[in-house]
Amino acid sequence: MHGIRHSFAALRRALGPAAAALLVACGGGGTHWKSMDITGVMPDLRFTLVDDEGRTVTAERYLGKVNLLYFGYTHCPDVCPLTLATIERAFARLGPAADGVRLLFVSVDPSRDGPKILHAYVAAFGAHIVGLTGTQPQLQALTKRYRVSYRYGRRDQNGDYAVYHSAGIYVFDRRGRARLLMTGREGADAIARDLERLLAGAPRTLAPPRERRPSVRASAGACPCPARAPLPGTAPAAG
Amino acid sequence: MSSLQWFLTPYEFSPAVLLASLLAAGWYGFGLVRCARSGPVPGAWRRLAYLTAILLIYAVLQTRFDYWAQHMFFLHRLQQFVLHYLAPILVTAAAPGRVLAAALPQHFTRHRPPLGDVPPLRLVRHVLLDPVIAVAFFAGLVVLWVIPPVHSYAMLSAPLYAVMNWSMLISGLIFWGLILDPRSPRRNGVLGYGSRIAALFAVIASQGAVSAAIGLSVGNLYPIYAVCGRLWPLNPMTDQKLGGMVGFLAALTCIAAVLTIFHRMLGDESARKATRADADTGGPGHQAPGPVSSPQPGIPGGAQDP
Repeated sequence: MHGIRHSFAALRRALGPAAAALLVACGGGGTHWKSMDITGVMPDLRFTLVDDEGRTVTAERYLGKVNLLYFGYTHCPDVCPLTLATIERAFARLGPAADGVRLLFVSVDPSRDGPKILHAYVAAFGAHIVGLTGTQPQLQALTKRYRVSYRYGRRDQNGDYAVYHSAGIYVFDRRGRARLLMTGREGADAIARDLERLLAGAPRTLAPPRERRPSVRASAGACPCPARAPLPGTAPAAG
Repeated sequence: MSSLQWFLTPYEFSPAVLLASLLAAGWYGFGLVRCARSGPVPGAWRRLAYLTAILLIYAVLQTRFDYWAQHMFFLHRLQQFVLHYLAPILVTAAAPGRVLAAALPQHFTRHRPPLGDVPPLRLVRHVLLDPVIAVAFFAGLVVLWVIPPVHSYAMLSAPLYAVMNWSMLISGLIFWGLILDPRSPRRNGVLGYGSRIAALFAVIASQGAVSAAIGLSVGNLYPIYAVCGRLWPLNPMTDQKLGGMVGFLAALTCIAAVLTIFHRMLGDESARKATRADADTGGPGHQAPGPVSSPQPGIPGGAQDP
């Protein structure tokens, strides 16, 4: 249970971005990030999971780099591979600086994604990805912490099933503080630019004034998508 | 674990919600016992309305429904409808003021000036219970929490999520307590019928505009539900349209409230005519109350009689 003082501090931190978001909504200028700023809104990176070599690991092991946290499963037919490929492209754009970033791919389908399968899967995408999974209680604790959901679909006659999961990518700075939330549809360029800023040690401040752009409607979390039909990333990934 | 047990387990346990629910129920129960000792207790429907309101509030905040509401926009809108409209209206319909007052220690009830004039409470009464502020608070919150960036942060930040739910409930209790106050403005100096109807039209305007903006939008206003994962793979635009329809349900509720007030107004009017006619003829009808205006000195929403 949080102490009262902690709750107040958390409230203050949470209301800050909301006030900033309100300003943005009212046309008060854009934030300097391409994706949604969640500094102070979401808790620090913390978990106990099992890595792709079968070892029980905690978040401390991964601090020191900028970590991206993404939930998926290896049998995912479209959204996960697309998102992983986009992130890999963004990492490639960083050049040597890519050594300072890492993607934590958390499989929410531990019954099918054993360490070996997970390892082979993430290795196929690139060197900067770590595969993680865990027991159901471990996964539930982590998904609750970041307010995401996952759910299993019905089994077909082959015993295959879809896993419905979140599309967001949570970005944590080197010290494990939550900083950005990406939808996965920003594109590799935008992701790379935000990661560069984080690697350069962008301060934890909110929306500094910046030159106005003509059609900034809302922050990235709000309505960046002009498409009328829902894009693949809009619906929970079904496989 | 049985499915009932699973449903009843809070997704995110909140001691504040549990304590407030127990306090609201316990206080009322104690008041009922005291009332029964000294005189009549409110009818079964009123008791049932009060209990249902508490159960509904608890259910949308502290059962599996809370998790569903976090991961499906239209269920979130239903949750907010319960907190902002349904539960406060039930509380007001229960007119629990007399029962709640009976539960207070004798010291407070005999105390003059009344409890509402104790300095900190007087400030609360003058600021929060001021009709203009209460209506602005209520109508403002209708708009505030569905502004897309604000909504995104409210769904991501646990403290902000709690602020959203509490603010909706508190503004709902204050607003409906004023609007559906069972006391007639003719005798009690409570908010007049005309002002009540005007306030309801202000809310209908904001609620209707917001619901239309959401329900008729061709763009996906709330990608946060895809980012965090929907409960089941419902088309985001369908989810959004359903959410907009819950908003229209809220606007319809306001229209029903307007009709209720008209009904009371007519009741008051005929009661006044009857009184005057009786006075003219020297008849015995002086104590005839309006057919709808409750003779009960209710103190809706915990507000103290001024």
